[in-house]
Amino acid sequence: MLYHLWANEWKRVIKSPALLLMTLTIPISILLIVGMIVFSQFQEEFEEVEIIIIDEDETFETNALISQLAGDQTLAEQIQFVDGGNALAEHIENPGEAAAIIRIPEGFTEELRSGHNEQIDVYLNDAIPFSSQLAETFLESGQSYITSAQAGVNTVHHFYSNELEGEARSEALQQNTLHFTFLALGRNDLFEMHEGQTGDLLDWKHQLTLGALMFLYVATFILLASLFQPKESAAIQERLQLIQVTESKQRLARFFFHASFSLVYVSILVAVGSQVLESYLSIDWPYLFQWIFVSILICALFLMVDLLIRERAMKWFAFLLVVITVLLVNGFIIPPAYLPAMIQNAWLEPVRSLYTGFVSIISQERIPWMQWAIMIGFTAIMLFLNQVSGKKVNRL
Amino acid sequence: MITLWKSILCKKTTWMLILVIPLAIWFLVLPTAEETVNQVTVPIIIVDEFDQPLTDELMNDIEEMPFQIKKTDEFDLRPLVKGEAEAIFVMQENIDGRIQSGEIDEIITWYRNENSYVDGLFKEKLASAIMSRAVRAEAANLVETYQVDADWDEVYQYGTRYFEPEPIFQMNFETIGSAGSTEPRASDNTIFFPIIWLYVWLVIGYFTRFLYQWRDQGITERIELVGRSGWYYGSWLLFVLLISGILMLLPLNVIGMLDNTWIFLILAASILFYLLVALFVKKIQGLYVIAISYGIASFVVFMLAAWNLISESWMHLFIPTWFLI
Repeated sequence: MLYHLWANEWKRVIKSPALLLMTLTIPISILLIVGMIVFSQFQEEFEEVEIIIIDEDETFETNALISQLAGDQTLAEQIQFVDGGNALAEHIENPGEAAAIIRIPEGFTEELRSGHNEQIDVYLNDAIPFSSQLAETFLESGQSYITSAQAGVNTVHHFYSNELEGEARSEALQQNTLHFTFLALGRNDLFEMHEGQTGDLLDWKHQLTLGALMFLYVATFILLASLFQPKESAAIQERLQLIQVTESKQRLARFFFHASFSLVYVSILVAVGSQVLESYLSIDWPYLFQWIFVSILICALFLMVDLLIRERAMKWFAFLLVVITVLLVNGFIIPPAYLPAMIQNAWLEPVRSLYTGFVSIISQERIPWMQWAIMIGFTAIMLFLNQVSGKKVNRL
Repeated sequence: MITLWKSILCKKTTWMLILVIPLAIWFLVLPTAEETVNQVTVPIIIVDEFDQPLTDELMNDIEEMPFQIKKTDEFDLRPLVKGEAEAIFVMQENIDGRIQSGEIDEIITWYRNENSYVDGLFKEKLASAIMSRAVRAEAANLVETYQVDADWDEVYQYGTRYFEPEPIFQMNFETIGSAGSTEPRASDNTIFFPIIWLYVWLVIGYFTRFLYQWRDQGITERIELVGRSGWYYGSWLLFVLLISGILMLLPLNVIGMLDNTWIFLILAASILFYLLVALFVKKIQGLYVIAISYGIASFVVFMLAAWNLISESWMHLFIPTWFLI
């Protein structure tokens, strides 16, 4: 009987190929469109970030300042400074490929030396958001170092070079400017860096891949389960009850339908994924099995929500909440290290098996027997609850 | 006609959609989600085996958010390996003395792992806090070499005026749009608009389903026979406009985004869109396909437009993007 119900669900799907096609293609097209647009922006912008400098002051200090910014070790590799002459209005009118325009006003050095806070104007080009964001971060970190360098220069000037005269004075100033500029610039020398490997984290590539595949699976599952849900008809229910097909049996058949669909879907997903991303995602059985257990657990979660909530709108709302919460707690949405401590508690460890299973396969190259047992256990409990509910109450 | 509306209002789903779920999102989901997002932090461990006062001073100088800084006096690499810490910074002995004498190379050991994403930001902040002291010490040392009678502490303290209350060097960031005019970036609240719209879109879809059901049951046909079809569609339009209007305008009013005149047009256009689909697409599956595809596509296009990733004129084919005009 269960088999017939299950086959019937598949028949309904195959009868509406347009709906099925939509179920399969909508999530993929969303991912592709968003991914392609973001990627093309990155490609285009990150080849080189261009910053136009309009130096109306043109002193030794402003030159040192520009070379200090350009010499920054952390970010300056992709940044190119372009001399913009004096045509500020023109550049603002038509920034072109420039991520930012920096204007150093005339008299800037004089003001800075006398300890006044003379602001430099930076115009960020919103048309290329990633680059201008990068330029902003870069210039913000530059602010504190230039302040440091200038504080050193000014202090020495106040106590010492101020009292010198003529050539000696400007020479001392230039020497100090260079000295403090290099001191502040060498901030990375403060640190001795050690980079180690870790067993309990995923690198961003795998994190991103898991996030994308999870989005595809969950979105497809939701579309499938919602578009192909059975009609609510009292007459049909009555007839089914007559031939001993209880609601719990119908739910179980639907679960098997969802699970079998998921099995096929994630297998294809992993196979295609490993083809496309072959540089770091080789096809292997534990990875596929982990996906299968995760997807079947999600099907069981749907069964559970379906069992507890009859009203349709509420059911979907609750299922969305449950799935998003489970994925968030696991770390599919935000990497687990950044999640609040409350979520990282030890008692939530079993719930996090969906993610930790992937970690042990990818990072530790270990088969996650424990996580698999937990996921199968959760699924079994939910199926059992469904059976029990069927025996106790014979709802209509 | 009234009986038809009664039948809609008697359904539990109707009330769930227009009352219970919006209230649940507003009072339950949003606050929880906001709290979780606010608690997202980057865990950093600072190790100081010698319990130096300067370490506390530096930690005070660094803004807490988005970091969650933990100070210990025992070096332990395990939190890093287990992913509980993004990076570990170990302070060397006599750090204050070394800064004062200008020997600042490698005064901190920085342990990170290959998967650390944003610890570089913390390093920048820590370096900037140290550098503000190091340059003042260096200046005092220099002045001392030039002038034997100089007071080291006086010079060192003098330098603070360039950092407090305002750092001497600041940049004034402005944004220029592609058109060249200075305009503000999309505010954080912008994300709420397409979400609210998408929900209202689904609710309108729910009401459109009744048009299909009534057609299937032959109700529409009978109404057309008595020549009241204009009345029938008109009252559907009014009813849906009323409910979706309340659903859309109330939350927008709360987050203060009601000043956009396009909202009413967006609402009216969304309902008309459904009415046209109901009139010309005969199968209910067609309604599902169109409603879901268009709803999701609009959401995506809206977000891309709000982030300035696209600014083509075709994007206005998607109703919610009118909000950005």
